[in-house]
Amino acid sequence: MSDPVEYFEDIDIGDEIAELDIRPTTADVVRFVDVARMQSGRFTDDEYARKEGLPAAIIPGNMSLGFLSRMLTEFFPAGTLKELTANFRATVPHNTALTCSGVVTEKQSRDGTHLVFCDVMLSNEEGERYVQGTAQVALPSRAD
Amino acid sequence: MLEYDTSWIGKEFDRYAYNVTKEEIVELAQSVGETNPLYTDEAYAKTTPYGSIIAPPTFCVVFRSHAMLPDLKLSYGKRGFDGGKECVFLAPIRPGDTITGVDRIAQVYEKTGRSGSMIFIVRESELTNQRGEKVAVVRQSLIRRD
Repeated sequence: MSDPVEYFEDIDIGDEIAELDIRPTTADVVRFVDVARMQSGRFTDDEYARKEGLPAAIIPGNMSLGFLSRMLTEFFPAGTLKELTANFRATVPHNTALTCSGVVTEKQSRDGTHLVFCDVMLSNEEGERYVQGTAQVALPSRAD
Repeated sequence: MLEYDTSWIGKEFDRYAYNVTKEEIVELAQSVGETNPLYTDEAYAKTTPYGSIIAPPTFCVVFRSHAMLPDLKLSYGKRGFDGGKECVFLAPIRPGDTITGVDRIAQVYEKTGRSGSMIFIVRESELTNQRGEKVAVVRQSLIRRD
């Protein structure tokens, strides 16, 4: 399944969220850290990052969150992202093919709110998981 | 064995305020490649129930305190790194908003794994707009180890 989903009734436990393939460049990271007020050489300067013991400049965790959020809101265009959690398991390199992916783990309707629970992750082409987390998205229902 | 100054738990240690501009929202949305015009196109956003551009949910991470953490007098843990985040999105953030952040230490706990013991410090930022609506709560897990 890969088409965007609008209504709560159109998604089931076990359904996969359409993957988001990205390749963030150093220029993208520079743009992000400037607006996110997190300027640090560890995100934009390989030499500085190596002095901190990192292999090279890394993508900030907050930017990884942004990619996961983008995947979810593109797949659920009528939905509202309610919660997003992420564990930063490994540092994420620049200029590398990355994939955001996710799967629906639970659905709940209560008090007129229809929630979809998902596991989400950011990984590379070899399947190495850099970021792993969970999300809750509220969707409209056809019954509303 | 973890020892620390428990008197900081739940106590506010920083408060800060930022004004939100449309330019920042568009810039952040574009830097992560957002394709939804709700975040970037005012004319489109006017046709939606929101009535104007709103920020992508994870825009809330830009409201950053630059205060150092209070000295928790940890018994170990010289090196630190960002272990993860938990964001709860409660209301849209819009251009022209003034967002006030209040930071607290929510929790301190220890975990022992294969590579030894680590301390998790959970820093909670509560974000409120100028109308007193809570827009988001962000919990960041800072990991410390020797």
